[in-house]
Amino acid sequence: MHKSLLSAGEFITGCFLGGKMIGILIVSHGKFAEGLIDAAKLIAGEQERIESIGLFEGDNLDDLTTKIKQAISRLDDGSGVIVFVDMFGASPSNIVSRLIEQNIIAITGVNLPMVLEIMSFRNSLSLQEIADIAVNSGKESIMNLTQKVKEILGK
Amino acid sequence: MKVHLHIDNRLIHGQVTVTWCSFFGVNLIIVADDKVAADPLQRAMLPQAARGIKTEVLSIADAVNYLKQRENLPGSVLLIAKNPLGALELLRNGIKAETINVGNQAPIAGTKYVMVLNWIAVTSDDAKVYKEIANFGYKISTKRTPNDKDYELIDLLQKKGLL
Repeated sequence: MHKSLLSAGEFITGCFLGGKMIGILIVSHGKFAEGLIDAAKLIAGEQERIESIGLFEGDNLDDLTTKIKQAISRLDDGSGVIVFVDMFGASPSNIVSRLIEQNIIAITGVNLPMVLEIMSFRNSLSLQEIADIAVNSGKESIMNLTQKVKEILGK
Repeated sequence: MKVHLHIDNRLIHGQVTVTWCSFFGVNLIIVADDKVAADPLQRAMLPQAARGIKTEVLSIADAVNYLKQRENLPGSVLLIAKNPLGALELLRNGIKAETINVGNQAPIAGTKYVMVLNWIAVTSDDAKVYKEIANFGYKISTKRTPNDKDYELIDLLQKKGLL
């Protein structure tokens, strides 16, 4: 990727991108969350207010809870944070499900399309609207591609 | 028909495209690209991404004819080009746009590009093409969605030393 000194254009962009927007936190087992953000940046460019937390072998769950709470505080500029977890029922999901005091909405079963769909709308829609779009896009994005192609080609 | 020209390498992407359509009040999307139109799979798949909005996938020449035939009809269309060259071709062939916006231009591996915004990569060849587009008398906006802040592209290209 090309790196350059901070120019007037980048400064302006930085100011704009630093404006109010909903934060994104992705919590998963292992490097999945980190990988998702890496993939999203390849498609949608660098993003602000987005972090990942991974749960690794031997990690302490109290530490994980603290990490998650701290990340949410960092990511919340008053607009709230959408917290994606990999799957329902495991530690990331269990910890996040208890955080009802913070201004968050948690979604399970995170995939790349749902993260991409909401990225551009974080400064213009409400947390509830973002959450609804995420759930719908996540579901819609799953299809049997081979079957679809066969249908299209009439085979 | 009013034409809103949109330059986006991702062509149609779900919520983003639908938002542009409701912002402009369009009920028709035309994807104008020779390669995409020649591919039966993409031609069939793209309308599905448009979430119910009528979508035509046409070569540049066919898109120009389609719009010329409907010049005096009411209504608006979101005309999507994959890259600045496609947009320039459309304008050279007589398309008159109400607005021109660059939504996404991801960097192409192996090219020498500058990120003028996080979602817009520009090579020196691209910059020349954008200048030609601007020479038709257009301001080129750079919004991902209608609510994004508007930075005029030629300004940005000049600030980045590409023009």
